[in-house]
Amino acid sequence: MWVDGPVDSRSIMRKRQSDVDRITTLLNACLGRVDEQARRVQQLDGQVTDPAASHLFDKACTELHGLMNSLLESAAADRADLNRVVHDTVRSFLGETRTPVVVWERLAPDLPPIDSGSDKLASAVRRALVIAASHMETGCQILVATRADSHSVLLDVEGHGTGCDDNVLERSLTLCDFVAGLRGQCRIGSDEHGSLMIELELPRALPIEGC
Amino acid sequence: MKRIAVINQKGGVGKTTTTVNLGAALAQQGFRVLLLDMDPQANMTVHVDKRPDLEGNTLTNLFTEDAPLQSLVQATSSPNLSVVPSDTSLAGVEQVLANRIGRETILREALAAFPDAGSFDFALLDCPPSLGVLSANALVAADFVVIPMQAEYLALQGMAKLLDVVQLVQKRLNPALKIACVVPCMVDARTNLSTEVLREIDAHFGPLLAKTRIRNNVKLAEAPSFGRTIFEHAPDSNGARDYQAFATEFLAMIGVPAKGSGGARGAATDAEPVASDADDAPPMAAESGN
Repeated sequence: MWVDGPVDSRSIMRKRQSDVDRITTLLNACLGRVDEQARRVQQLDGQVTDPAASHLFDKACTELHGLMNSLLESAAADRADLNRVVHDTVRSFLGETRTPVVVWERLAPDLPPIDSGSDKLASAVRRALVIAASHMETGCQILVATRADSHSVLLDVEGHGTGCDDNVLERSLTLCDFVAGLRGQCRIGSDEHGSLMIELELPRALPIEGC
Repeated sequence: MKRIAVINQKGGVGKTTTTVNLGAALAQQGFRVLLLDMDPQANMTVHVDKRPDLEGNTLTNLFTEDAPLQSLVQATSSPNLSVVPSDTSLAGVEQVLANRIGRETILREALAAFPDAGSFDFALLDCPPSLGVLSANALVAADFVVIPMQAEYLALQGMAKLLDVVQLVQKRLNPALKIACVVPCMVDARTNLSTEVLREIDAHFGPLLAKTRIRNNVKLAEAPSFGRTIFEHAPDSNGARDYQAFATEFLAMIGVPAKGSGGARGAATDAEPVASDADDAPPMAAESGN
């Protein structure tokens, strides 16, 4: 049994719009610099060997380089390492939960980064752990595993406790909503042994090449 | 553990919002915070993504069955932030305790017997909008009072009664109780009304009036319905900025040194992926709460 969480298309559009605004601003700044230098070259008309002009060119190139790096940093700002986030969040959670559970980690090596900030991703992971632990008794086990497919990075949280009932589904509504805000999807279900299965499918970050 | 009662007998002035987001701001700074929902409406419980109808153990168990506090504490989706949830059955506590001797000191005794008190820096008590047994318990158990106040007409109405109750508790049951501050909430600085009301509150409370204004902010209003603190819901919003600033001011007002912001995120940095096979992965056991 799997229940898909809702996809909040409005929040996706808002996020994309803010990304577009940020990138557009930086690109405009870059183009402004290029245009400025093109006009200078036109005005100098054959005097490009002038040391002052050459200095201005170098300065403008440096500024342009800086702007391009800002653009790339901006694009890289929302990239998170799921393994690191899971590792840290599990430890933080275990220090605070009152349910004496045991957590196993199975983290896939070389996982691609997630298109999300680390804080938000940590919140999603923690929410999944809170839900998994909410229906557990002393000594129950949670397995947290990461993996990747061609489009997404996935987090599985398996709770070997009392399985998936209506209460779990109700509790998971805000988790699904939260994950939809990260442009991901959340599926809640149970396996043949009655274990609770929470699967978070999260978007891969686009690869970034240096300037 | 400093115990803070967030109280105002008026409803809708920002008590729950202030309790949750002040707590979350302190938690972000690296303080360990325990939220206690003393309101049968259980708005705070919902605000931190708990379900009052699904929680097996709530504050009602403490008042009616003497359940130990440690059995009621739950982790939330925010690091360093735990909660004791409430549900509507808490409304019956006033009647159940009507004839019980020492009914105002139940929470104080529970907190005194709380074995994990040392692992929390703050306990924030979100009081109901009334001055009954539950609010009395909060005032008797608290070290400090925070009074959220909406910057609107008649804001000061009823304040005399609240201050009388605080004085009575100071005199009879909790001499150490202090008013930490009055914090103006839902402030719209563009309106003359807000400015005038703030002037009036300032004249009344003087140095107790917090300098930070919690501005009207739609993100603060939205966050509870998503079960998120403002720092999860809209970390770049004015609401998040205001509560972070208020937390810093609040710490100064009660004489607690601030920690660096972002402390809550300061988890281990030497993490390595554990074994790729679950059978080889070292398990991590949570500490038993009992």
